[in-house]
Amino acid sequence: MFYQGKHVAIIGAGVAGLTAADDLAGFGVDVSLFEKAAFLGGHAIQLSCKAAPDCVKCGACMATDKLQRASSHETVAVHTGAQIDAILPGPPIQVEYSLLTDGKRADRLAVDAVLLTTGFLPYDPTPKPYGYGRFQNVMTSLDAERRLRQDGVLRRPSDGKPAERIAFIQCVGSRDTTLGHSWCSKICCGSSLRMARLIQSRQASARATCFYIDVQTFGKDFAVQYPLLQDEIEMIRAIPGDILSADDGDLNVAYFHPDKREAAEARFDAVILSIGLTPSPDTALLAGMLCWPQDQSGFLMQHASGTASSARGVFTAGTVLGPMSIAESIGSAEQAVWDIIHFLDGGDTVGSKPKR
Amino acid sequence: MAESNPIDLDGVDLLNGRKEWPFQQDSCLTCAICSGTCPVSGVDDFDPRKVVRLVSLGMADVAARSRWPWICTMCGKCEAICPMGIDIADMTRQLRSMRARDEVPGILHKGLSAALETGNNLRLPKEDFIFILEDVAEEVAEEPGFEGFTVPVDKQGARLLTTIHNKLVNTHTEDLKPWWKIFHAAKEDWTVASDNWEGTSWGYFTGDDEAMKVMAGRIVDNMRRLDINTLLWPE
Amino acid sequence: MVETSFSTAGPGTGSHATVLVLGGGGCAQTIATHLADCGINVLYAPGHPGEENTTWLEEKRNSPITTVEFISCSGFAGDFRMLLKRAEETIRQQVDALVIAEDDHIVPNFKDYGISPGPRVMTLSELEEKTQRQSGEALFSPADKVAFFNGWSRESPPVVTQRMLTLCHDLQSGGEAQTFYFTNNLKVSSDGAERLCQQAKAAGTVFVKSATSSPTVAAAAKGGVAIHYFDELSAMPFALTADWVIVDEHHQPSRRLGPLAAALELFTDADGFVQSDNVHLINNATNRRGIFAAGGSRGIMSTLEKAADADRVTSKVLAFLNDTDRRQLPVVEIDRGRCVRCLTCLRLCPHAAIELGYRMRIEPKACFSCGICAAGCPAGAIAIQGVHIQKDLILCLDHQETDQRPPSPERRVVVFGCSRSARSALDLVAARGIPMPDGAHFVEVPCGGTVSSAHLLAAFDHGADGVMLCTCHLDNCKSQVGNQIARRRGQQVLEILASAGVEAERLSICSIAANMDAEFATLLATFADHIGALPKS
Repeated sequence: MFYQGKHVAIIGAGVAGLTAADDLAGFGVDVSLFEKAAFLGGHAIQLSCKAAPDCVKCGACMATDKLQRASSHETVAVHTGAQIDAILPGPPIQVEYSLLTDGKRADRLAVDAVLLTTGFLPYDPTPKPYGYGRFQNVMTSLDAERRLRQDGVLRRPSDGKPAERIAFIQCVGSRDTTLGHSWCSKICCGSSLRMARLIQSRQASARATCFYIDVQTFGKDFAVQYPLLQDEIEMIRAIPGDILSADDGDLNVAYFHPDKREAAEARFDAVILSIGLTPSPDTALLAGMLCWPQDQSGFLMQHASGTASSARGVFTAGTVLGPMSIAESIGSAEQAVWDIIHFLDGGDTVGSKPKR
Repeated sequence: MAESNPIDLDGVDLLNGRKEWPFQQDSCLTCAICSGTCPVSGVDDFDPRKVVRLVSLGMADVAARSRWPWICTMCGKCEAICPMGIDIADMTRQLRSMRARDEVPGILHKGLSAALETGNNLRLPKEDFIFILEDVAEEVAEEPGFEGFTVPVDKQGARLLTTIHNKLVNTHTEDLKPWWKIFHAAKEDWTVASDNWEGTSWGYFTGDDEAMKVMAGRIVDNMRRLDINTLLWPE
Repeated sequence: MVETSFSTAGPGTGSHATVLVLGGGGCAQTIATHLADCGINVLYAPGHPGEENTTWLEEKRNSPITTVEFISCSGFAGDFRMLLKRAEETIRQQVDALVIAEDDHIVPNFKDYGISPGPRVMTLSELEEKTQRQSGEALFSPADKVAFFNGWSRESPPVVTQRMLTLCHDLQSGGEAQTFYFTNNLKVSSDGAERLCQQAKAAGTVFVKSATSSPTVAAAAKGGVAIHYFDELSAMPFALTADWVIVDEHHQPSRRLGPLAAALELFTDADGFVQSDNVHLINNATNRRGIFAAGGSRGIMSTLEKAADADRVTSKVLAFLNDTDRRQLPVVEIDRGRCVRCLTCLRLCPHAAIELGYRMRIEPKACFSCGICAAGCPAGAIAIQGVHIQKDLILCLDHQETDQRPPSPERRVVVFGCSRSARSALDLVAARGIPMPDGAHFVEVPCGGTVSSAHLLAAFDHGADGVMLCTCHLDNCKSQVGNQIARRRGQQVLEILASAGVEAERLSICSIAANMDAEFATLLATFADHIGALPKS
């Protein structure tokens, strides 16, 4: 078992990075896990459980699970507040990093393989005419997740009262050629519908309306869930054209009613923008460092075609490759682990232990 | 819309004529944002998405024959917000251009004919135009801080030439005053032309490129005549 | 791929492991070859011997792959006792793990669209196959109208839409036909689907979405298919004579999965895939340790995803064989002296980890340590190492037992919660600096199902004013049914309390997830306050 005792650097401790850390440690591989934020778990760890009251299989609790599992291994060394400065080809591969908490002290680590799991950047909808950043009660789906985790119910930023009439606007920053985002972010339909159901289940007076283009499939039981959701949540197949502020922090949402074929306006006390997943600036930086190919959308390709030597021993997993659900991110990491173990088994030994 | 026989798609020319319709209309995502932001959606069954669809289906002639292109205010909000970058306003203008000129909706046709013949939509004679300007100028001069105000007409070598929207010398003369007060307070060296002063561009609005060129040409002529390099065209 | 020679035998076992791979198709084959390359003896049961291309079996590998036929299975993880057929011989073989990778099969959706198979109707698979077979040759003439029917009756899986869009785009952009795409919710979540769709539009494909009314379909007089539909964007009715209609498909799990699941005591999901819809099984686990599900056996996925799944599950099998796939779990044992062989534990165990024999035995390798059996045993014959619920109850409630107890608070509340969810949630609550409410005590159990009716009553017996039983949400229990069993017991106790004149509200049954920090804190506080407001019991 030549892979045992070898050393892998994982860059990004979201759910994919944590999964890989856990699995690799289980194989007897030493892991150095780098994370730029002060906390582990990326975006998935910030999500709220959506059971209403039955589990809807969003996978958010699995992020907590993977975090616990990864943290339980002594052979996983964690570096938070870390910035990767360079990745130099090997063997052994040299990872140069700075710890932002340590006065930007630079350090270097020699490893046998590197796994890139740097995740995604949520789209910032400030440029869109939805009032994000101007109207207090317009928030992103991620803002809403954090609020739900915090408070259990969705409280309005303006006055802290539980929101009762809530609008979800889908595809914000996705399926948008003018932004250069010609992709569907895959998880937002499921996320919003589950969140809408959750909010309504926690608060009897809450009523959600979902403005959408096409409903994407989510979960194994979509065929069962979707008809139920259509009964529980008002679904309007049109994206609003204007959001104007009303008094009390409320919002007037103007849209074209697709069935009645008339201009309509509805008043909401909170608007949630379902923002898309976009490639993060880190992705471009790493791609540059490694001459790693990016796809048309700017996400990394899973494998580096050609044989640029800087790419040998480098692997990728998770949403750095494109929009994915939590289950898929875990699966992506699990597949990468197979590739890494294979590579380590046939590759050269490094022999150095991770610095702690 | 009344019940009608199904349109036979077999008889529609789908792919030809695309060169004449280069507005990305085929990329429509069906999101309905355009219809949501349009200020006149729902009027007479109009919504921008519908018109985009008709053009995409090779049925531009159906759209051109309908009222729909003329209900559009050409505000351009749809175009600004469309995530597929469809040039909806430009496309609508092209639909307008397909209408025979004498079938352009009443007031637009009337106004444009008047402008082409007389230099303004109202057929307002020059003397009457000057009279109205001077009348309003007197009122301005009565206000404190604006003593001695006069309206410069045909001032040779001024810095700025401005056009005037016809309604400002018709039903909304009061709305001339804010402009003039700003010019005065800023000590701007400005003028209006006594002929071809019309600010609206119904040649542009009705999809008539020739008329649009004539109207614009006249303004350029004024600038050359008066030796002015800067134009303020608040339309 | 790098040649590997790593042994998967764990330290001290000394021998190579054997794994049975069930299923025909690419995924199963890849798994079999991966495992064989790792030095594992592979038994391969494609299910349809004779139909398979077997040349790949003859390649030299680190370990052999032997074709067999599955008959039956008993035993547990690490020691599955298989009855198999090899050539014409029936053999008994011990196997360490099983991987179920039966390919799903594809059914065309003719009925959905009111269309019959006919000379101008092709299924998606037929078109795909013809396109590959006759590459370079045109299947249609440029003036042909080809209508794609995708998901306007039942929702389409993204995988099917991806295939439909690809074919439609290729035909249209190649100038080979005029295409129409009839759909409802356009599934563009697959990688590149949105771009494909935009390119098809740019090339001239007409997309028709039918949300409020469905197209009607009939044979056209001059051949082809007459389609009448309402175009919802232009609000006008249209008629189209398509020269060809391409009908989409849906995926169904293999018919062999049902009997297999029954034979192996595996839970299935609502569609019949041999993996219940439970996030704890992400991605290849089943309710039984040592049995894995992959590819078309666990869900609908593309060929590419099946290949990735083969890699994934191989890594999971290796981790299992190395015994590194789970954290240390407490040992659960049956005391033979107390056991009366009522078989309750056998019936309750969701992991089929209990051996029926002269002695009832729990196989440690197969056990998940949920303790559902312990809670259900009428003779109290099952013990969970390190778990002593009665003692914990006494410790927190009976002050006479200890010397250094603080004065008894106004109310005493016992909160039962499992390690999986409530404990994690409680840790998060503590991390926020929120303490447990006064007088509330947390009793950690491996699973909600470890809590028996006796435990609940004992809590009240020992002086609890209120008892909260926290389970995982439905479908979120790691032992699949622990939460349901716990709730059933809770309901029984409620009835007992009612007959004893105790207020029903003193027992609260609620569901919690590991990441529900704020909600849990609120639940605890609300319940504790509520109990405090009740008259002292």
